[in-house]
Amino acid sequence: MYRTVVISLLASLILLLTIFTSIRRERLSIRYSLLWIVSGTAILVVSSSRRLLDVLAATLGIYYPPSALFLLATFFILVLLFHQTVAISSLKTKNTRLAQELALLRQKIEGLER
Amino acid sequence: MPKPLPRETQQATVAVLPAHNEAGNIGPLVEEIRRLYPDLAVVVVDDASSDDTGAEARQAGALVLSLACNLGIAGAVQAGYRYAVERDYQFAIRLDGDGQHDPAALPDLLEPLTGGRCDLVIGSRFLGDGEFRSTVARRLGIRFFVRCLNLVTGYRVTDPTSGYVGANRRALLFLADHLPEDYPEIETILAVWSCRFRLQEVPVSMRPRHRGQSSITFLGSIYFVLVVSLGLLAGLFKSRPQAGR
Repeated sequence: MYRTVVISLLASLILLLTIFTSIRRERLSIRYSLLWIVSGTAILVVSSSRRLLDVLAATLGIYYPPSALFLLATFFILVLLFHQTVAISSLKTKNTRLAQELALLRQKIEGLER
Repeated sequence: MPKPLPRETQQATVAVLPAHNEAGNIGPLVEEIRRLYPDLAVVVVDDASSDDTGAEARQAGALVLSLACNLGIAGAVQAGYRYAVERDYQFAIRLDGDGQHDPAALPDLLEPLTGGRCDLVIGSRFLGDGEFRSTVARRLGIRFFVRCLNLVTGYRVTDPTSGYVGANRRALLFLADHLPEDYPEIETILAVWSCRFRLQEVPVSMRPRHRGQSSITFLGSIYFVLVVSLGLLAGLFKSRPQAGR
């Protein structure tokens, strides 16, 4: 076994465990956990089987199979990052609306108190 | 001496003044507007200022919308538009809180709106004989966007970065939900065009700032050109809900 494979196997197990405990303790919403579960599982599957990794690397034209792991990980990191940026954009819009609504309500209350 | 503004028009109109740390400027400006047009609603949107902007505006007789956190110019203006929509005003005129926009030009901006000739009016510093000083870089940037906008929209815009803007209720209903982010002025023209609103420019003259620094820096203007260009490009391909025709 490659040492990289052992490490990534361990790391992905820890990652999945962390994801599940976070969901169980309601620290992570199901909606955002989905992508994490998919990426964690994908890394776990690929690193658990030497043959699968070799096949994957050969298909992608990668000479050194563990490099395929890094490629896969990078891909998921990009997807996760994009997913987060989308989430932040939507939060920003909602935050703006809330601040505006709050200002309007505050003004209304001031008018009523006068 | 500014032109008189009919009482019914004043009562149907709200002046929206976005202000961020404009203490010293905002009070005199509000007083000036209220002296000229006593029946006009003046709304100052205090964009989380750290100075006395809000208190000063209130003292001068304005309604103040205090934003809980800093939203930037677009968010502040939109808050004012939402107020106008909520309280059933027919027209809204946006003036900058630093006093650069002369309130004496208000009747000129309102006239095409009340006459039903257009939905959005822009006060242009380049039309007419008003003198406007600016840096070379800024002029080049503005000229670039003028070319882009006029090519795409077919409007004849001369001053797309002007913040002296009037809108009728139809445009307000749209902008209260869809005002572009960050630097809204230029992208608004494109957005308004894609909704087939009628747009017109009227000449206005600008006054120097009373006090304080303009917020424009060199790096800032490069960022400005990039962000607005991207926004325009995106605006061309954005799917827009059909605004009430």
